[in-house]
Amino acid sequence: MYESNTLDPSTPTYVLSNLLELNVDTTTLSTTLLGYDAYSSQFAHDDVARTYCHISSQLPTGYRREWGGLEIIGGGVEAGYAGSPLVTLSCRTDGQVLTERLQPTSLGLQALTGVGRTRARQLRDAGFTSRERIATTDIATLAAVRGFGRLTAERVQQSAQAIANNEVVRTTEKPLPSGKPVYIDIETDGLSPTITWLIGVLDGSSADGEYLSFLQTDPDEPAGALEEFMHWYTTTASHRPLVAYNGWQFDFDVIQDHIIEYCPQYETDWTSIYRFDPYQWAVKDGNAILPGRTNKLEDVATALGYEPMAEEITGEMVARIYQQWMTNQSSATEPEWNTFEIYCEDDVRGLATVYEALKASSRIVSTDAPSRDTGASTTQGQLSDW
Amino acid sequence: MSSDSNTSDSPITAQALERTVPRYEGQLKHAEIISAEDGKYVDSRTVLRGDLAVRFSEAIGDLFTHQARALDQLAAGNNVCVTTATASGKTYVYALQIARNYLSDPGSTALLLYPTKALSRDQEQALTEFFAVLGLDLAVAVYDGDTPQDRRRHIRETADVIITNFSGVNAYLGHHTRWSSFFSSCATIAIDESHTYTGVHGMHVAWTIRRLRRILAHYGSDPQLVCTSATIGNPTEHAERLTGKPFTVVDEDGSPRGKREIVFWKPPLDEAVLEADATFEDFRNAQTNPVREAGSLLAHFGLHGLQSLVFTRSRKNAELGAKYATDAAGTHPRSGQLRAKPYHAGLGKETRRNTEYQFKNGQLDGLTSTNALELGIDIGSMDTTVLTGYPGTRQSFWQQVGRSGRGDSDALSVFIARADAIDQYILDHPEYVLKDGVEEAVIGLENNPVYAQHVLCAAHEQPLEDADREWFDGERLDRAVGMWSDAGKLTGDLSRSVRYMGSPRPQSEISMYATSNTQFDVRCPDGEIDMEPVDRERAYRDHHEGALFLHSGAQYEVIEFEEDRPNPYIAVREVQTNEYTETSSEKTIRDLESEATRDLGDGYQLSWGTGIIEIHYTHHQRKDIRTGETTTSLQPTGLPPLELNTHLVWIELPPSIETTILEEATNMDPASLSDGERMEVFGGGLHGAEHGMIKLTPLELRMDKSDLGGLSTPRHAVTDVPTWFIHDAVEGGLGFSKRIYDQFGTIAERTRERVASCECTGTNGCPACIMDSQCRNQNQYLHTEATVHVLETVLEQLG
Ligand SMILES: [Zn+2]
Ligand SMILES: [Zn+2]
Repeated sequence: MYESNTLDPSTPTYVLSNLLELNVDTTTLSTTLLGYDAYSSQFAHDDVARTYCHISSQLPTGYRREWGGLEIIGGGVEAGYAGSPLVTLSCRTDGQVLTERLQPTSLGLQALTGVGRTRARQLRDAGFTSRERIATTDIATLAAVRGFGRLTAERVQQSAQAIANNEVVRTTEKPLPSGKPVYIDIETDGLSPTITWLIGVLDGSSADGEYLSFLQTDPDEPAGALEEFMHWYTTTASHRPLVAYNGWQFDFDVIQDHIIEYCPQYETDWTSIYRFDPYQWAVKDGNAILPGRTNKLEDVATALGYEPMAEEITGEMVARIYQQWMTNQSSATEPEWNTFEIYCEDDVRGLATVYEALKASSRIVSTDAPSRDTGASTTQGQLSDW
Repeated sequence: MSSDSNTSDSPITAQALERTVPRYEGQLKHAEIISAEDGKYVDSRTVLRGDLAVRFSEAIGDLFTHQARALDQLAAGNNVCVTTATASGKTYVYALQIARNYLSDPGSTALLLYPTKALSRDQEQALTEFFAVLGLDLAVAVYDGDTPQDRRRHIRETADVIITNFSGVNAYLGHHTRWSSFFSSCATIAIDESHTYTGVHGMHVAWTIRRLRRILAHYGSDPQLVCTSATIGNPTEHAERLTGKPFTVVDEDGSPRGKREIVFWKPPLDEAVLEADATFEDFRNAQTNPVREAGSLLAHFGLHGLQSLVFTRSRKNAELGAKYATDAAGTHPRSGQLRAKPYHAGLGKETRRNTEYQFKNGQLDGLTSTNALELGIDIGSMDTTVLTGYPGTRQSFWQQVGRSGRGDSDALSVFIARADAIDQYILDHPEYVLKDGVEEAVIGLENNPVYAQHVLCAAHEQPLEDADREWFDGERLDRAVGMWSDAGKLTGDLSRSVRYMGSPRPQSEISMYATSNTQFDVRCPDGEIDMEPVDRERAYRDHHEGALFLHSGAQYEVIEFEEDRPNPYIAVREVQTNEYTETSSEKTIRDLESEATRDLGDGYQLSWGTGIIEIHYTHHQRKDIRTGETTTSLQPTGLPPLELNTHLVWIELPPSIETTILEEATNMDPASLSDGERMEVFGGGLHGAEHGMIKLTPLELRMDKSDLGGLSTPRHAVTDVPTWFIHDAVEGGLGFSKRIYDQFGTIAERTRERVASCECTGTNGCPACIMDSQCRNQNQYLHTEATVHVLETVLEQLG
């Protein structure tokens, strides 16, 4: 294996391969890392190899564990997902690895409303190889493509234009909730969370609304942030819709569970709140097409022009850092609370951007087909229905 | 219907049946008279407190002694398992306990677990009425997959008694906070028909109960447990393994019963057509069809004004039985019209309701039914029941027998034996079913794959800590946590907290009937099939492409076998052929590690432990059911070898035994025998012992014989001596091989008795002794004489 002598020792070095794989043997209750011996013997110097981050595409995303002194990181996709997703890895200077899944259907022509494999082929056969061409061609030419008619052509073109122009496209007349929304985003300690330790709230518009942060730094007081938030909501914001991106898959359920468990006095207040999830409404219920490379909040918001203040991190990473703090509270493990508050603020402002765009959109494309779901939503998007 | 029942001619007793049945050929092998028994009662006021006692005795009457005893035990704070007869009022035990708890604490709740959804709905109504009669305002509700979403929260928050099943509990634990109010007040858990939780399903239920109890403890509850069970050999042990709590068993039945006779009936075998070297199929064909015999009996009873219910083992036989009965009535000396109908789940709901109604109202002389009627469907009682073959367990046997009997009048049940080792054993030894319960219900808690899945769920439900070793088998939890941490699914350590990191909702990964998460969904693209997913091992064996199989009495063919995808499946279509599939395979056993060994001396050694069994299902072909002739050419299955890491029991014999067996079994000088002949006799003896023991183990343990597999050889590559193996047929083991190890002597003795007393001629055996339809070697080299000698030698050594 080639090893450079000119690597900058102050930033992490990543080694990417497909050589390491897990074998979980539930019969003997043991897990082995297949390929480890052959892999580690390839490095001339053990001590240097120990400073690298070793990514294997055969290991699931989010995997991170030390094996024989080597930091092993997952850069693949866990088995069980349909299709064959593409993965993009972002290796960061702080040693964190971001993984993002893309379904082939979210790329190219299949990203267009009403276009599946068959129509994509018909379009390509007719010479339409890019979305840009479809967005700019005249409608009659498009309608002449085999298998297309006028209505299909219009729908496909509008969707191509929406993507090309980074616009939201409404596909139904279904109204959004009335009332001034309260945007929220929560941070927890993982996918089966035991604490909601940060609730970021945006009261007002994306551009100049007031950001409030309900933070509980003490893991032994799991009710703290929730009680403060519920107190604020019931006294100053009651009857306003609560908006969370992918809320029905994560935030709303988690808050409800934690309220029942830690501050049941707020249960009735909570369940009577009108809750709204733009992701569910747009993508799952098929009321709108969102722009962006994927339907992740960051991607959609960025496509709509929102400029994040902080570098992107994932809920998964935040959860892991809080977990380390929970296990062992020391100055070394203490999270930089402020960083997370900014990260959370980015999310709620981005969310407001999306919501405002939905509200403002007047373009209605009629569609009988289910809307595009790229399957590449956030980690939280993997949560199945309860 | 003629009106001359209960005359001296009426075949309602064994004697009268023997005398009156047309063309009697000595079928009656044994008759048992079970005398009537008066009920034993206790004044409810000595058990229940004031008001409750008054209302109960006004509405229902006195308590049976077993109910009183169970309630006293519960009052003393014990967990109780009631194992009295069907219809002996076991439900009242927990219903009254719930009523008592309610009176002393109206906020208390109870969780009732039933094995089927149909039973849940029945009980919801019965309990609601019961509590109303007692004047108690208790809300009883079913909460399962069929409960509408918008009703769920209401039920969780308001019901006093929730009825559900274990698949439901497994799922609901994933968001237990929603159950906090119900759970924190839970005072009673009742597990109905608890004997049904055995094998793989039993393991899942056992770990689900521990997860449930752990979460209940989290909410400050430690409810009392009540199990109701059929008679089994090990009620205390079973209840304790199932739940992890100590139990008191109440088994002295105080309920009354009428007089009945049970007749053991052997359909005539047409031996004339059988050669000494008859094959498995030859026997199949020579046997007078037991279903035809059942049809004749139904006609005979019906024409004497007796109403009967015939139990068959398949839908097809239920249909045939009714037809045979009508045919038989036509040639019966007492001519008359017979009204008989089939009954099975394949018939439409309306047809079934209609048939139930007609039968109940005496418009039908008889029904031929699958065990669909066993599960508490009310069609009233009838004069006689006929069992076509042993239903597999004593409990089902008695349930079927117990359907006959109207009030005080006499009842008769006829058990017709099939040409099958167990049925024949029962003909030889009717005392086996007549005496008290002997089958043991086995739960293999040592199976790691199932255990590991539940550990993962438990971590998801509540982080794991040191104290959780108490729920999850001590140090074994450390190993499981280590494995899942290395796999990236858990993080942290037990001294602080171990947290779940895997994909959401691990509970949904659990299939309550399988050991691994590699299981195959069963789909029927052009029709319907209601079948649980199949484990990989079974899919390879029974459901490869082209395989024919029976399910709920219908025949299916596998048309697609898809493993290489995230959700493997097999696609099937319903077919009607006169064929069956024969699959050839190669099996090797290696990496044996014994965990328990009994040195029997003189080179005999019995062991139990783990090993790897490699099975390669290579080819299959079809054969005609009647003639046994091959109907298709040998087809490759296209499957790779399958490895099973599981538990097994094996016995090693000294090589010197070969000469002795050869001499005893052939009365010839072993030196004069060719290698082939030696293999046929000695190999046939080992093979026969292996088959026979597998076939007779269900007499001791509640199981299906396909839960076991075997291998025998005059010289095994690992042990280097004559050996036979019996192994659990699923990854990680089922606990059966361990029981066989513990009860080796009993099972070997029963097998020897059966083979020695079998009436088959020649030495190849027959399906009633050592031939087995599931043999991978087409029953090649089986030798009855040698089998008996091999077993005798081993039994002597066991002492
Ligand atoms: Zn025989
Ligand atoms: Zn065999």
